[in-house]
Amino acid sequence: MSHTLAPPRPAKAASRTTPRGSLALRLFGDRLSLLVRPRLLLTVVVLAALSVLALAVSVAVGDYEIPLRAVPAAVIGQGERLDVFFVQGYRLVLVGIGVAAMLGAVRDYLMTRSDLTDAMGAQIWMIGSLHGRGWGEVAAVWIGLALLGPLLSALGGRLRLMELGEDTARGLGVPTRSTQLVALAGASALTGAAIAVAGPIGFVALAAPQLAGRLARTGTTLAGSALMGATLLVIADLVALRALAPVQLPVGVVTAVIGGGYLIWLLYIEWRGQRA
Amino acid sequence: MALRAPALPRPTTTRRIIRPLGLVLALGALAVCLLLSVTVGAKPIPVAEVWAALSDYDGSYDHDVIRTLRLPRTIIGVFVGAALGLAGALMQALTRNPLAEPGILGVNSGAAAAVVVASLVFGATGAAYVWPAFIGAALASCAVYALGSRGRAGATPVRLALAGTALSAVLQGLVHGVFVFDTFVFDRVRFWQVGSLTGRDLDVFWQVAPFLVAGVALTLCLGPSLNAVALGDDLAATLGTNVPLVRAVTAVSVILLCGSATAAAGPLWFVGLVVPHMARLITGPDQRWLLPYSALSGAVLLTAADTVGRVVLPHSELEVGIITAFVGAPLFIALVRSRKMSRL
Repeated sequence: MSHTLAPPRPAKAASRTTPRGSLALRLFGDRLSLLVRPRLLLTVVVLAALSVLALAVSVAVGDYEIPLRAVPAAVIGQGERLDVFFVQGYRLVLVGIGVAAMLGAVRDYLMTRSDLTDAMGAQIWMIGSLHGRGWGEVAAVWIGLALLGPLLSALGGRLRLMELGEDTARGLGVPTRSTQLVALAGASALTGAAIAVAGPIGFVALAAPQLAGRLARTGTTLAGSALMGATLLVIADLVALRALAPVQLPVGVVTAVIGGGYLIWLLYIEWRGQRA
Repeated sequence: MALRAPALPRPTTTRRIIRPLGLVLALGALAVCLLLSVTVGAKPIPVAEVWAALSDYDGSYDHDVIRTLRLPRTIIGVFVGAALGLAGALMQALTRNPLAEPGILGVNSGAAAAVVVASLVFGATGAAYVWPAFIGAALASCAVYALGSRGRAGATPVRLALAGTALSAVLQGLVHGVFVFDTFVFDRVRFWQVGSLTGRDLDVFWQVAPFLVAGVALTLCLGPSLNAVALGDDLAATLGTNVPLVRAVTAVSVILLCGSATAAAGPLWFVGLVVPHMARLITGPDQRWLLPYSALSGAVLLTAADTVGRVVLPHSELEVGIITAFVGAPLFIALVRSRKMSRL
């Protein structure tokens, strides 16, 4: 758990605005950006701040019990890079790591000192699950979607142009900077709402736009991605419920195994006999 | 990481003086840490008594504590710390990435998966995790390297990172699945996952020692080649370096070093990540200096953290994994913010 740089946070807009590259790179845009493009770490900071905010909203709106239990875990999981605002560039990344490590140590301490039931609950939250969610959580997600959905769909056309590459889009009159900023902020806030109610479920946000685009043969669309994401998660949840019944897996386990396996297969195919 | 100028910058005069001096200081610090590690604990034992326990063992309680508890964990701490420091430095050189730590090759997730399987199938606990952890780490990182080096381009840094992240995701998913499935396994493995030196005896050390020594020996030959690779693949090849071979040997050393360290003490990812950055502040980018410095600072950090962990709480201990992160991270942040950072 603790060694990952960050949980694979869904960053729909980030992967969409990546210039055309290999499929795997686009698929893994958000993760890779952490590894090879330190500047994009700011994205993660925004994500983190907003997801904590969204969590607060869900606490205010919804069923208190589960979000309240989740608050410490979420602050630990998502707020880990807040400190990086105060430093620059290369240092920013390193300071972020230091903060993440400290918070990870707190998590490890709590996980080993708390009793087994509590630790188990935290563990399940950290991989993402839909168990035991009530109407309060539903309301939180729907409020998020109702507020941010229209904003993002208004950006849809610009984002399609951005897929042609940043320079081309700018040439066609798209204000690339502000589009990126709004898209990132919107995507972060949506992600935050999702994480607040279900925990950090991995790989859905990476796979859904790719699959939707392939099925529709029109490139990535926001509505298609949203529908595909919903379908994927519902199917994954069904698998999680029934695969090892009567044991019910958290849905994050299913998405990680299937999503990671899919990525490995993609890389395997793509790198076969490839020159560079 | 953009290509740098095609020659190592000549070390400044101060750096030429500081490097050997710093090495001596680091050795001194290590000696102090060793001394503290055997004398400090739930029951402080004076140095004279420690000496007597080693030279003139009389079977008393204190002597027993020294011989069976403190000495083994000190020795393991030194070697694990040095191995992690070296593995981290190698990993950052191999991937040309300041965020790289051996976990990117899948070492930690592989070890965790194997430990979970051992715990689930054989009901293994504690010291019995050594071999599963080592084998799991080795298998996972070999798989990552094999996937990353497919095709004619070979193992580029980006590919290794991608392959490692994907495999880690799958393995961690499986581990979490087992945790839900079997609460007892979770209960046992959650303590292993933190990383600790508590209760390790010398048997653990002798089990991993051959791999550690092999890893260190390989690493010592790598300094100049890694310096060449740092100039970029093309330039390194022009200078007569066999880049794919250097990459492969580096990966093997990382697997040996980090695999055995993880087997002995659990996943202590932070040490491998942070120590090379600390060392680089003093040495600059030259691998021939960076590697010994990383080994020494890793050993110092781990033994010091282990000693601190024994005394911070009354009547109990904090795991070394928690202390390294909690004490090491502010130190690391302070260093990063106060000094001019040296690039890879």
